[in-house]
Amino acid sequence: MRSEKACEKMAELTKRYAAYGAERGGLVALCGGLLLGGISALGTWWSSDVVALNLSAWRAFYGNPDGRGDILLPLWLRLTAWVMPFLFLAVSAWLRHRLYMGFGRVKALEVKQPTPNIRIYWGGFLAIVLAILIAMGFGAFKGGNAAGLRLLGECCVGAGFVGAVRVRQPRGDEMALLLLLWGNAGFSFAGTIWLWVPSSWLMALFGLILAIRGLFQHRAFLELRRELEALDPPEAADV
Amino acid sequence: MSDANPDLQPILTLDRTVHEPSRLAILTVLSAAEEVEFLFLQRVTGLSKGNLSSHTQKLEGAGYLETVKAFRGRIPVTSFRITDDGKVALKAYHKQLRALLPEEKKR
Repeated sequence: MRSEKACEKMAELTKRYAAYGAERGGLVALCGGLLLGGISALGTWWSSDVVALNLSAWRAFYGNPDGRGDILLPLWLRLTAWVMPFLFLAVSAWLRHRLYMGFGRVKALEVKQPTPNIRIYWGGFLAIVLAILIAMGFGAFKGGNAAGLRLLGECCVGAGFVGAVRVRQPRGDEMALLLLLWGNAGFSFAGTIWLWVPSSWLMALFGLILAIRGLFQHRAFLELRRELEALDPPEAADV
Repeated sequence: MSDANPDLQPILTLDRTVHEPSRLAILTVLSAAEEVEFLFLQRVTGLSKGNLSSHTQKLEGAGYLETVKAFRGRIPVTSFRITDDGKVALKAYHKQLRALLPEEKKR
């Protein structure tokens, strides 16, 4: 007879395996972190001359010589920044289903009664998303598409950092990364210097932290996979 | 059954559908997740395809699990989920087993 311990072990393996598919795909955070860190660093490096010029002239708060205070990145860099969130979505979906569910898909138990904390968090998050949409519409109406995009970028970066505080929530890291990538994309079209510099560095740092965190999670997953592989192979003959 | 030693009664009343080791393993795995695919269940229980199919059919017959059939592209995928009756039966089985243990071995 299978001992109670063996049953516990099977249940524990199942729960851990299901969790990796649903919320803890380490490579997802690693890829997202590298994409975010890479694009932030690339944009910062590309615009470093303009930023340095403005900072040295104490124009950070007054705008560029053209009087608008915008950083205009080259088209290829702007397009890359806009491709990043889509790329991240595709990569994360692929990784979760292909890599983390290699032994068959397992759907994790649903949390039936969300705690008040989680409810407040999601309520706040939805309010931020709503604010983004309103700000976008308002900005586009008042100042044209560029202003709308700038507001979108600023709101997304803000929401991303709010999300980053709660990365321990299910898929919180993925959500925060996605928002920051959208924010970066918005900035790439119409970023103001005084927001651009600190945000870019923070985003690059945050991307690095999440990438390292993802690496450790992925290592834990590999350990789980080894445990699953070490289980007795299925019986050859039917009884 | 009526001639049996009354001390053995708790053992004899164990739910035999759950008591079978393979079925106990299947129900245990299913109770730890919302829905489990055939492939994972096979891996974690170590059962062959035929055995797993036959045991899941018995459990489905008893109303302890339900089968979810779907397609991923052109590939048919079979998943299972434990029913409320299955959860109750598993819980009752654990309770009965614990009751059978001597006091010092109960947790």
